[in-house]
Amino acid sequence: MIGDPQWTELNRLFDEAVDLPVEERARLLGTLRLHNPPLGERLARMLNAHDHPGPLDKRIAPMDDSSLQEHAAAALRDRYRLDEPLGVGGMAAVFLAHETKHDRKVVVKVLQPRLAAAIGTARFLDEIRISAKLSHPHILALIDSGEADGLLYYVTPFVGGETLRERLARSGALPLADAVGLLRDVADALAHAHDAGVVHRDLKPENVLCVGSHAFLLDFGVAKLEAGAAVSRPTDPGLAIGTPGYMAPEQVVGVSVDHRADIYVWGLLARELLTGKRLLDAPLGTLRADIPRSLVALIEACVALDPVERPSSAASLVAALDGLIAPVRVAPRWPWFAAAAMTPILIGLLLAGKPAKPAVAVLTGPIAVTPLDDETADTALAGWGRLAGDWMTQGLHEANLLPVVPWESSLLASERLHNETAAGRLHDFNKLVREETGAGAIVRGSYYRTGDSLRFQATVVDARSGALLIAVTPVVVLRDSAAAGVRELRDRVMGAIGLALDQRVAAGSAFATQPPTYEAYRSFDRGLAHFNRYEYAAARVDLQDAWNHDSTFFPALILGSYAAANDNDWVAADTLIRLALWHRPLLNEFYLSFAEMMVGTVKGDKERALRGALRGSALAPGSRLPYNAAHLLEQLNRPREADSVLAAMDADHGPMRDWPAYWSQRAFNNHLLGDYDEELTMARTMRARHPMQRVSWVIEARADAALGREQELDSLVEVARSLEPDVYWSVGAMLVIAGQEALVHQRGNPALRFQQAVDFLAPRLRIDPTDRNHRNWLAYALIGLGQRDSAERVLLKLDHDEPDRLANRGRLAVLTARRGDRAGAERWMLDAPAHQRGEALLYEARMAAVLGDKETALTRLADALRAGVDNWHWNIHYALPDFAIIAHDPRFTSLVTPH
Amino acid sequence: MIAHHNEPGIQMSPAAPQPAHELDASTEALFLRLYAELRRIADHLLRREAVGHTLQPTALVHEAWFKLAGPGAPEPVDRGHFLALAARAMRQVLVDSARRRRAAKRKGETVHVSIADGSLNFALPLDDLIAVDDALVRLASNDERLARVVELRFFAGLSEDEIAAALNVTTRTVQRDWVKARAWLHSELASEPPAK
Repeated sequence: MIGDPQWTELNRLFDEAVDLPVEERARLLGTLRLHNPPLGERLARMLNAHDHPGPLDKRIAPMDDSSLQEHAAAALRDRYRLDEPLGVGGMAAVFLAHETKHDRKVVVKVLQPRLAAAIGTARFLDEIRISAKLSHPHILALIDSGEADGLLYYVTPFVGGETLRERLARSGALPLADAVGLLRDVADALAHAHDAGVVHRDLKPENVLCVGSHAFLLDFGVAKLEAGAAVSRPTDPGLAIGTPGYMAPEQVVGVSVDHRADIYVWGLLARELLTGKRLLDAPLGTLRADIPRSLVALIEACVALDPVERPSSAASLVAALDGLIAPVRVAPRWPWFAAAAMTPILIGLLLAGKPAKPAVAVLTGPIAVTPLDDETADTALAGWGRLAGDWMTQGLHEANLLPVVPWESSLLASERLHNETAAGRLHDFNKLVREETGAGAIVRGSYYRTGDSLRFQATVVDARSGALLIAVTPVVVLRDSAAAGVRELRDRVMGAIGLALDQRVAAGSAFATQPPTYEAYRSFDRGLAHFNRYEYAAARVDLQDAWNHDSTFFPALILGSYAAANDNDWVAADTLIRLALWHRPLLNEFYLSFAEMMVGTVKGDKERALRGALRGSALAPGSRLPYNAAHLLEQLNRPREADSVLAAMDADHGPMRDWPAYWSQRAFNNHLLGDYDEELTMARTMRARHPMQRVSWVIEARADAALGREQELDSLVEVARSLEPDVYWSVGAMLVIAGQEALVHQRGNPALRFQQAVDFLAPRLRIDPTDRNHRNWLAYALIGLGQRDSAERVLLKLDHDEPDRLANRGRLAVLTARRGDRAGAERWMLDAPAHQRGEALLYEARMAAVLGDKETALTRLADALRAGVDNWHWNIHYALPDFAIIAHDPRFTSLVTPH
Repeated sequence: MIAHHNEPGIQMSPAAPQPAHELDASTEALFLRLYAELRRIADHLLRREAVGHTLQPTALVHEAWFKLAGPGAPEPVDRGHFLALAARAMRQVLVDSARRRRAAKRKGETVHVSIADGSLNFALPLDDLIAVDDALVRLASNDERLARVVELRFFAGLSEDEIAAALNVTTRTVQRDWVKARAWLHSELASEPPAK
């Protein structure tokens, strides 16, 4: 054989160069090429070949799954017993295994031999060592790694749970709070790894393990190895770099990636968790309504094509999410009120500034269920306590509400306690269970026998403070129906825990003496989700269902009443709230107050609603209630108090974040108070924060018109004309409001504005004659122009299309009265809905004034303001022309001046 | 460049292998037995096993050890030495099979391929396999040990520890040898088109 004359030299140079950093390698090659070009060329080719995959990185024949398992089982026999395959992929086979030495369950991952061959043992071990250094609560630790009989493997603890992929397959898009919590954990894990200089590069739902409400990130470092070993050959898709669909653009095109690739994929993961969809085919905000805008913005920023535009670090994601979680996880709140804000149903209470939050212990996991104490002295009944504890534990595991201490651990702790007690050593029960199991909360209870009946009872206590979190109503059953008793108790405990953990009802649950059954809670939960998505009809069905499951679950009834009201079914709202009040003695103080608010709202008695709200607000501060109180105050012509309540709220955190109506309400209050500059500021703040809410343009137009800023108004209208048309708050609406404002303040040119409105609306109505919004504003414009006959024709058509709308009938009544037809006018006002009593009284006052009946007008106006007038501004200020004959009466002035 | 093998014809029965010239007589005898045994085990395995089962060179080599040299064998054989020899035999079984299949393809005659040949579902294109074999001959002329490492690892699928034992060197040396051999072979394969 002919030897290669350059071999010895090449051999030496390769050994020297292969471990050098890239720059030094380049320097060495440069020098060599200068002095010995052929040798330099050969070394360069060898080093290049070293960095890239080739035919030798493949096995001669692929190994099938069963032979890989056999091979792995034999190779690892000394230390691990492979019990069952958890999954086999192109990269690795995963087995549930038993570690002989420590007698514990572990997960063993064995790299596919082709991949292992491509990586090489040394590189594998080097890389795995780096990731083994990562120690973080949300990164699954590495127990062991190595090479055995040609196989590369690594071992992690077995923590159970399911991967996010499985979770998504099981339940689709996750509830907001769950998704935010898990995403926060993942971001936290990434932040830690990035700090240590490790980029995951293969983040995907398969690589995130959910255990309870916690997430663990898997497989750090492995992705890099896989990428390094990847064979570009299309015949071997198993070795592609990263995972298609979970790669940053720079990963796809193959340029070098850094931690920002992980941030991109985190964004993809977030979208998938929140929508159940993987593709970037629609703006996130349009796919799901309940995602806070700040979160939408954060996620969309992560998936920016250019890494420079993404959030700069995973740590910043954690900070942003903590801002979201804090109000969600800790502060009680009532977001279901959210749905009501743009609708005219508001329940409120007076809060002078921020009340101090009462110290309420918060339920936090892991939760341990201890065996119920047997107090029966009846050996035939022994064992039910353990069964109940076990059963509750399993139920909590399945329900996945919070981390759960395994039954075995609880049992051990409780046995230890008994042994210690028997030995004469006394221990604090909570402390011992906490120390033994790490529990944050403990379910404990007992069962007694009285004659032929058995009584089960349970409580949930805070493991640290011992504070009572939940007291479950005792369950009493016949002695031979212990199983039924345990089942009922389990249902009640789980229902109570579900309710206590539900961030949406946390404020109320602290006062819930009557926890629902778990089934009832689940229906309630679904109803609440619908409610928050404005799906009132669907919400009513689920809430009704919740009450059917558990007829003692009054929150479902009260919220059901609320949903019905928002669904514009006031009869149902009235019925449901009456049903709840029939059980008045069973309602606690909080729900009584809540029901009181609801009754006031249903009956059109806003003073009563305010009284109820006031009491409820003292019991559940930190909620959306102050906002609703403010709205009620405004309806009662108390804008100053209303605005101070709003000003005391935190617009950036908690219930007011992402709540556009906060700003429109503040603008409105300032308008009523005559501070139009402040109104302008509020309108602009709203537009900056909520550009999609077109009402801010109308508010700004209103302030401009009130201030006589005609040029600004003109240019505002021009810009608005260029925007995407809005169905309700159109340019027509802006011009009508501006015209009414000009009229009230005797500034500018009202007629011009009304005419502009007509010019905007009329041609559009010719194109689409069915557009009720345009017709509504056209009617206002025509009234403003004094073209009452035309306005009446428009309103008659509207009334035909939407017969129950008080605003149409009220305007028709006033127009009829203008013609001197008292009887005709009064006919329009028959059968006004109870909940709009104040509004109806206001129209009657206007009718009376137009007909020249001063005293009736003043009485009706006073009654109207006592009852509260919703959308008060649109109705009363712009009704001033109707009140001309009493405009100078001091009683009138005193009534309409803000209190 | 020196051709390592003659282009074999299509044969129904296993071809007699070309024994590597550096083997002494007793080793050559073991090698020939190994070659025959590996083919026999392969044929037998594949006949017995369900459709879709693929041949594992590693498993084959280990099975050959138990058959020919394991406990109860007529004469004691050093396991490392045996594995080195088995790897070489395995290489030859595989490469012969690849050459026959390629030749059969070229002639459009696929029927005259033995069962083992037909069932050796190569993950690697035949041309690559043969090109590696050719390049390995050249590598052996530069550095015999590097070529042995490739043979043991690539053709026989042995672990680094087994390779170290077979060559009587440390595992670390095996790792470094592999890195170098791999880089050299790949650079050779990339620099010239695969043999046709």
